[in-house]
Amino acid sequence: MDDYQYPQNKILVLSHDSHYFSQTQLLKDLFQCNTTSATIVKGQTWENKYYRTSFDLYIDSFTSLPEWIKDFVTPECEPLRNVVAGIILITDTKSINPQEFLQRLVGVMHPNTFIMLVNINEEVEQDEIDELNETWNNGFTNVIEFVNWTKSRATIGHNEYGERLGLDRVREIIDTHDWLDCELQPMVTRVEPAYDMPLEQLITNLQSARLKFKSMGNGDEADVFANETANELSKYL
Amino acid sequence: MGSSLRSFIKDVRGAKTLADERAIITKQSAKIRTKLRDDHLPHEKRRVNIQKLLYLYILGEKTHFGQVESINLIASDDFVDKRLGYLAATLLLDESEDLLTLLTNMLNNDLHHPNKYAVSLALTSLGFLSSPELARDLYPDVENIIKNSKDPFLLKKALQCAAKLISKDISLLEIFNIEDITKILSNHSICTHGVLLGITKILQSVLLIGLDPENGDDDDGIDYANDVLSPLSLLLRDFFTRLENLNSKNIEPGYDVQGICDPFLQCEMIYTLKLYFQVGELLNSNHVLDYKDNFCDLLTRIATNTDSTKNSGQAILYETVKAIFSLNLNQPLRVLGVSILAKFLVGKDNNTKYVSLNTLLKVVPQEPTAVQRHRKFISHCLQDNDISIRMRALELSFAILDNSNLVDLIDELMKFLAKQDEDSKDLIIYTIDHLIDTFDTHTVKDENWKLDVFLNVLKLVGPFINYEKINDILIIINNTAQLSDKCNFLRKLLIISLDEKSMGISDENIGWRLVLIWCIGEYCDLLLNDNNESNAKIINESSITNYLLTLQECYTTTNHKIINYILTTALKLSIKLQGPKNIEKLRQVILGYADSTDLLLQMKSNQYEILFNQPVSVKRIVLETMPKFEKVAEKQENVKKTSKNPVSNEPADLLSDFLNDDNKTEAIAATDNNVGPTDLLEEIFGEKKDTKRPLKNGKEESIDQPLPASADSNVILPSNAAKIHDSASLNVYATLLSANSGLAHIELFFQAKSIISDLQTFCAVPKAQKLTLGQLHPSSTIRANQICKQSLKISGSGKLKLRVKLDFHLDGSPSTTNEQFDHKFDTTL
Amino acid sequence: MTQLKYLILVSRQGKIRLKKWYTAMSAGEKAKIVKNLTPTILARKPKMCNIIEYSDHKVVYKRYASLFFIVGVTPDVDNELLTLEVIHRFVETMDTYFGNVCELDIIFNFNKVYDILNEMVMCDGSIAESNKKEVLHHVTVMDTMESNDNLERVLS
Repeated sequence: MDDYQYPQNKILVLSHDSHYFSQTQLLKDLFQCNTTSATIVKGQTWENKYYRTSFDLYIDSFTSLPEWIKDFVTPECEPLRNVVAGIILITDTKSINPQEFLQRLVGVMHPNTFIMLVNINEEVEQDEIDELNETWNNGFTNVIEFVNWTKSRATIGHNEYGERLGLDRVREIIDTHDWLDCELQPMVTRVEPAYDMPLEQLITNLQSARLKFKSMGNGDEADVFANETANELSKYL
Repeated sequence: MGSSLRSFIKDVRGAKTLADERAIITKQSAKIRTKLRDDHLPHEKRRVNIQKLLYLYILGEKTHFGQVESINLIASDDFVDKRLGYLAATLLLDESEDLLTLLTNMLNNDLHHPNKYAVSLALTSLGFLSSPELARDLYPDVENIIKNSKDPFLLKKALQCAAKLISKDISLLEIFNIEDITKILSNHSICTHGVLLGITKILQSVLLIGLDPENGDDDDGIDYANDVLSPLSLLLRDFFTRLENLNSKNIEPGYDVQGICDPFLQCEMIYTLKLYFQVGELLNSNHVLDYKDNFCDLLTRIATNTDSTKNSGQAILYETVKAIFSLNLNQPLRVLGVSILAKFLVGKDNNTKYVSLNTLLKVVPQEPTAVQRHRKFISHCLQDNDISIRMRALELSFAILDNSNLVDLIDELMKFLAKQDEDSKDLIIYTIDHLIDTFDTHTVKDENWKLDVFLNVLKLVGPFINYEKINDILIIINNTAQLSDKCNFLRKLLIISLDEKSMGISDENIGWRLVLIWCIGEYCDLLLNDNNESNAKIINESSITNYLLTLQECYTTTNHKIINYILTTALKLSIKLQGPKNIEKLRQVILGYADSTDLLLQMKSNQYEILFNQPVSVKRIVLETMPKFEKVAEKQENVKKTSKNPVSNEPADLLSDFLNDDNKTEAIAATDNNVGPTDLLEEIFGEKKDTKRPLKNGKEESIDQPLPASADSNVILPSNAAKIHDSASLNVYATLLSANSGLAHIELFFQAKSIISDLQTFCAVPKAQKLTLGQLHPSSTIRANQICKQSLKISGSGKLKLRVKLDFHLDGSPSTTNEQFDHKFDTTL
Repeated sequence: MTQLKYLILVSRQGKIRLKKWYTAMSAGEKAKIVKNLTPTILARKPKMCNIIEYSDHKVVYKRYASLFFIVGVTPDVDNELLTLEVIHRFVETMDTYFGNVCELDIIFNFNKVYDILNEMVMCDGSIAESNKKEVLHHVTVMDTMESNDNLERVLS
């Protein structure tokens, strides 16, 4: 028997005490999660074009980031760190030293865990964020990324490379995350067929399907068949 | 710990450590492996598994176990299986696999499949995976499509595929029929751009065979010039017209790229035509060469008419320029080509700048003056933010440098150096190396200016200059004809160094300091005697002495190289200064190292102390100003020590004899043996390793013999040296000291098994590389088990490979022994 | 002209999203290229030129939609400026196919991405079709044939 693998299905949302409102806002905007007090939100669903999954939100705040990290990197927290898919830190990139924060984290984090630093300081320019990313996005197995999320500036849309900004980028990082040992339900998506099926062909197919269904009687098998046929044919309608 | 963290841990509760990602993937692939073996698996499941497998392939996992299964999928009647099967096969297999034979039948079947998409999948896959055997077996089937299909979709793929098959097995050239191509070209309705791309590919394959000298002999029955090239040349007119139409065409949706019509096809056509004329030249075929003027006219029109403001247009222009220079077409076209490239330099786009600088560098030999005309643009690129642009601009600057633009270019280079920092260390070193070479190979009338250049270099980038290059700079200073120029140089150095307000020179600037200390030792008497009043306050015996003392204090624990220089200069000053107080101070400096833990300093201190106390008449002879170092004209053939190396490497001996290296131990040791001053002088400045006169063994040995055994084993084999040659006479070892930014530094060690004398080494490197060979050190005579070392610098690109030829006399035999060997390093430049 | 050696798609975070080799190379060589090239290219500053020299060949890369498109080309034969256009064409084609292609599309449809690529680039990395519509047309026809297969299988 395989050892049971615990799914890596927690996202840690973290901020300074004083950033409480930003945190609440982010939870709402990103996860449509309207909690104001809970520290653990179970079974948060996440959905995109290709799959649906669910994870737990762990929500925490701190008065001193170094203190928080000190606790978080202890061996005691290892079981926690191993099931964290990602950390979203809401912060003012000017007031923290990313070096201090990241250097200590990357050493102990699971290599699959992403770390996002969401800047909420209105004065920080996108250029500064880009520079932080240039410094930090190389040489680590962990996905580390800074994004800007401010009200006064355009932190939506795309940059010159057609890359998403702000919360859209956070969303994309979560989308493209490799969900270890988690259930992903595929969404039914398909690319539109270029050629429609000619109507006569469609009708012929429908007729033959009907004949076949009749011949199958009323079992489960027939139901399955009917569903599948309906699914396939509906793609051409 | 915060309460939240506690509650999170509680929530996770008892979680075991997760295996890392790799373990999971391995497990996953194991699962897929077992599933694939299950023959009863429904198709849908199989497909899912193959898809997962391809995902693992992308992640870089081992996927070979899926190869057979993907081949099985191809055999399916369902298109969906076939499509995935072919995709998987082209990714998971490669051309060397034995499994390819399994594909032959399926490909054969699918090439005749009623569904054209099955045919197309087979053609695409055969194009990716064609072994010579597959090529022979399946070419007729592909040819069949070319001959009979009227579907451009299949035609284009069949043509691409056939091009690949012909290149895999050139004997297919016998079957290839140019009329098939002519027929397609004449049928307007099927001649889409895709089909034309396919035709250019097949022509390229055929022409490349003609270009390969190995296929030149017609022993296999093909007379390439008559049987292949001549009928092929019938297409030239048609190609000219098509290319011209394409180039002048207005926007055609679907093929438009920024207002240019199908740059992909245009470039392929230009390249194909270029190959035509290359082969034509090679085989001297008039069938082709008769059209050369037409081709030149067409290229001129393309060069003039293509929009040079967009990348797509620039791509076409670039392809045109490449054609012009690889065929070395007429001069007006070459000048046009150079001016197109120059225009690329003006824009903002760094990619066009990059290709332009790169190409200009290649065409300098063909069109030097035309390139020089654009010097300003090139110099402008020296200031670019992108280091790769700066590097290329730098290379190009040195490539176009000649007597006419020397002053201006060096001026630009100084501006360039002024802006560089630690990050561009490689560029700085490159510049210094080449500046030194430049002054070695170009005669400069205004030597004062030349010395000013080096003053500037030392000031700007002194901390980056290594000792070897400092020696080279000292040689240049030493060889300056006018004493007054040298004096001037020293005066400027001193004024900057002694001026307390000047913050210009940092303690890290060892280069500056070494040159200054050496110059003080050599020229300060001249300067002091010739000093005008205005500087006397700053420059006088005491200030110089005190300055040396300050330096000595500053570096005594940190840099023994400088201390070495200071000791020697102190010794020299003992005959150049007048004031007994200052002289005594200097004597104390020397004495200060009598017990130094650095043995070299200790020895030097003791020996200098003996010399210090010699009568002035003796010292004067010994400490006379350095003679001019003669340079020997460079010979291309002989990269050995007779070429430029005396210039760059002699100092290592000459100067080191006196200043620093272990050799001086020998020199001074000789005094202990009561060798007269004249002998000593000869030993210090002596011809020991002098370049022009071959060494006379007798003399060398008579000097060497009294030396203690430890003193002559100067060269120790480093532990990481790899043996690259082993013969009855000697072993050769090599170490690769560094290899980056297109420059490798290698050291060779020759260990003699019995006495080897007059060793001469000749090295060759691949064409794309340039070799600078250092001198043999310590001597071209090696006694048994002794080692002699030689350093090599290789610049350029490609694999590091050496061919080494050795000439020497063995055991004093008058006849020369030769040995030759090759060595490949694992490193690529 | 165009003669690609390989194409690798890497996320901004260094994760490999797609790779295709057009020249025969040993597994070791391939792994080395991926391992060495990725950090080199991620470390490039935005304003730097998109062409670098690597080992015995050149590499042209372009950043689009959180991905780096990395292409090895044959020195002296390939036209680096044209390579940039090839990458651009490829991106445009995917953009139309997926509707503003993003990293997630490529992760979940990598086989479609290969299908598109194989219609554009064949054999030893030569360009086979320069018309975007033509490429998309045939890819979607084949997609339809797959769906028809599904339908037929259900019906049979």
